[in-house]
Amino acid sequence: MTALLSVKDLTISFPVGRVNLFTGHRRAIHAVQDVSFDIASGETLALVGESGCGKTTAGRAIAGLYKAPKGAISFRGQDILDLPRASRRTVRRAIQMIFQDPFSSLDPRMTVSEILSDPLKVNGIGNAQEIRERVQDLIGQVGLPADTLNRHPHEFSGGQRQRIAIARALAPEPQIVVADEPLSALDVSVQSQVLNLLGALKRQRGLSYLFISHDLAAVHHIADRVAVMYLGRLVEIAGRDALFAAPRHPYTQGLLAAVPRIGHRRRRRSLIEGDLPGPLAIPSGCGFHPRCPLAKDICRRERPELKSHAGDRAHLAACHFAGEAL
Amino acid sequence: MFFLRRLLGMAIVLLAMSFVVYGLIGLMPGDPIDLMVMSNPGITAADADRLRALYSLDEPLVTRYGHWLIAALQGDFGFSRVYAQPVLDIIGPALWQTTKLVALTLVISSILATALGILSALRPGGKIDTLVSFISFAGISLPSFWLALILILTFAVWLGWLPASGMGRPGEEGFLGNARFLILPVTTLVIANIGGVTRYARSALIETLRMDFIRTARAKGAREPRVVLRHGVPNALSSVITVIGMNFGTLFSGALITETMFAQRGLGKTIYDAILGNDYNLALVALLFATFATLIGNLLADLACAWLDPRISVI
Amino acid sequence: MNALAIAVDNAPWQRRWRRFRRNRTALSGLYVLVALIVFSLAAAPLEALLGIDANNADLLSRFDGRSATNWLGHDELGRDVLIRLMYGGQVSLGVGIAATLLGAVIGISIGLAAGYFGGNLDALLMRFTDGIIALPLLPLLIVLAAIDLTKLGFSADFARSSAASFYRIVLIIALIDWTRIARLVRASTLSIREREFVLAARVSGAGTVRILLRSVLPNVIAPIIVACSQVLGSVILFEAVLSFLGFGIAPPTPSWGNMLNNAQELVATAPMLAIYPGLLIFITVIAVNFIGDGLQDAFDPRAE
Repeated sequence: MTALLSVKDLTISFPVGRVNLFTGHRRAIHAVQDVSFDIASGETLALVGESGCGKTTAGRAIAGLYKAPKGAISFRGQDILDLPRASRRTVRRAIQMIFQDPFSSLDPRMTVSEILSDPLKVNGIGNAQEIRERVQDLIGQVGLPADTLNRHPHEFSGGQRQRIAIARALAPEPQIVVADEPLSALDVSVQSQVLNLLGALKRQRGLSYLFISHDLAAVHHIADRVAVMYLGRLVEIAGRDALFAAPRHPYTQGLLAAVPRIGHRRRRRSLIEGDLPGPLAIPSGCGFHPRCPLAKDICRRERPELKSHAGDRAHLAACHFAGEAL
Repeated sequence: MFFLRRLLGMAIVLLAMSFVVYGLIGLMPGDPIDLMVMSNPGITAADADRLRALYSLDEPLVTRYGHWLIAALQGDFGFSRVYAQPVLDIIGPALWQTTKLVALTLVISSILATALGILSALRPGGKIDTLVSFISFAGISLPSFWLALILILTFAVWLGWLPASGMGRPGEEGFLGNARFLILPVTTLVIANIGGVTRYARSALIETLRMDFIRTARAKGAREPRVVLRHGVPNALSSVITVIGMNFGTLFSGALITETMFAQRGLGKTIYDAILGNDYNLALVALLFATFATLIGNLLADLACAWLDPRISVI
Repeated sequence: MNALAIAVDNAPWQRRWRRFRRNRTALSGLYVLVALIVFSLAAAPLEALLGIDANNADLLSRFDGRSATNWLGHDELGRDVLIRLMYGGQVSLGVGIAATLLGAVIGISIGLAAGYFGGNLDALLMRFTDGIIALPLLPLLIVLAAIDLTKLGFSADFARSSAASFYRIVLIIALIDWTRIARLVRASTLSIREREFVLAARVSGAGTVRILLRSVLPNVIAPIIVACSQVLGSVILFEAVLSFLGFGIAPPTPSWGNMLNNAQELVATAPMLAIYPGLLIFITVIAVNFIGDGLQDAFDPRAE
């Protein structure tokens, strides 16, 4: 299976503070550093981690929201960071995005019909008649009645809004959808409905998802593979079952341990202690060492590489002790 | 650091301003050589061309501006065409006259505006507040040249209490005698200026009185007037000074109007007369001095603010 | 459900209107402004009705008092004062509105560009804006107004026409009155550009111009309206003083400012000639400022 989307050494930094008068440079925080992964056609890769770990930034970069990130992002083997102006839009169409907050991702001044037809018009898909038909088709596919189209976003609940946002993302017929915490702003009761809708659309359309979430139950439900980020770097990536069954990185282990599960009487004590370091004070060596129960001297000195340990070649972890049994 | 950056910014503004105005003056009616030809019929067309070359008027704008700038940086601002004097000799006394007018206005209107602001902030929405708010709006909305006209009509024409125009002669009536000439101009400018500052003082004071440390002072049992005077006013004052600083440009525009209305040879009237009389070099230099004075005023207001408010660091 | 939905749809504007209506000074300002507009527009009909020609100088009736057809008497050239005040209102209000709108276009463009693109462009544009705000604007306006249009390649006929003086004053006031609008639009744009619906439009492939016009601009309309209403008053004052000083609307076309032109010398002999136009300017500007203040309260996001 060749990769549909391939991300290589993606690094995104934001300048902070004032320009240094002597060097002309500004300090930068690296929100995402040297992140690499592939997504195959029809596959769902979940990107998990605490808030502030850079997963949203990575997702937005893939959706084309940042100018000139470092590294490479290619779609069907074509570098999409360095596209000529003319073909940028046609290639970019294939990657769409669903945002976290459906209360801010829909323009309050447009009707639903305008919201859905805009991406079609922008991309020059179809004449007026075809656009109207497609918009009706889309709203049906996300399970909303046709009379939705003449209303404004504020007339709908969070779950309905997120369905509208999904319909908008589907409008330009994408092959990959970056779903940035699509459930976290919704009531628990509607989360599973939206999750099922995403699953159904994936099967019908053969979509790939980059599913960004900190909700491991949802991830377990929808993902084929899972990538874990910590302080801007990937610390582990593996098939879903392998990762949930045998996490190799102590951070992943801690995350999984913190998930409350039905059937278990008590939540297991979290293995992760302490707070996330600030983005300007990233620890030396392994970024996780100040909070890691296994940390040794080497962790403070050397950053562990993301590589496979023992057996499963698709299971990569960035820990000096990932090969050892816990 | 901040201070140096401000000075640099001022220099850039003055430079840009001088270039733009220098360029605009080339577009004004009347050509200096034509004016000379008109006043002296003996000058032939060939003479005119030679004169043009002599004054480098045949060179491109940027070159001419460059010459002017180099001379100006060495302190040579050239001559006034109408007065046949170095422009600095004319601008000096005019600047002093305008400074008197503006300084008096600033002092009087700051005191009045702060007092009115306190009165209305004590009971927002009350009768006094409504009245003060109406007065402020009236002040902002009055065309100041018309106000000057009405004041002249009332106090000079009908009542005959004050001189309608002029500025007295030095030494003739003494300082107090000359001060009579400033009463109407300063009154006009104060009324025109006070509305905006009062509204600002009021809202700054109301904002301050909502803050936690004021509640603390009240909770300690301090009486209301004491709370307002001791804690509210000093905090509101720095905002008032900021708005006064930002208003220096407006204040100078007002000075131009009152000086023109009351026939006082200040900087504003000098600019106005110079443009009307095609005395463009004088207009240019006077305008630059006015801009410089305005920017200095802004800077002084910022410094005063920093002095009043320890949270702002200037150096 | 449907009726409710439609009611909710215009809700922000209805709420704002309700808040505005509750402000009595603002509402009376609005009534006064409407009355002044009607007053100005009634000039031609009233002129026809009374059978007089306001531009016709009649030196025999200089300073004549009121009569059945000349309700406010005659001016120093024997023209009808009332009709000229009405025409002057058209010019003064017209310049005010036109210069405010043109300034708004400049301010919106600069504010959108600074707020949306940010970075060095933002820093540069805002420095420029601050620089303009700090300048003594009236002398600068006089310099701009004194430019000889024939040196810019316009014909001498056009340069002397009162149409030219109208366009010129609109243009030069617009060149300096955009600053407040630009600052407000920039601040609003800064907060809108990171909203997810703007990001969504970018992901869907919309170009910068489309995003600015379709996603950002409609969402900053409210502050623009407030800023325009607050700028309008000072624009009318600028027109008045420039025309008064002889750099604005060229006579014989009347504006409230240039009608005061000769009033200073005549103030002792014909004080009413000096009082009427100034009073009209004052009433107009105070009405506009009351409206602006009411709009600011009504559109205050903290009240939403």
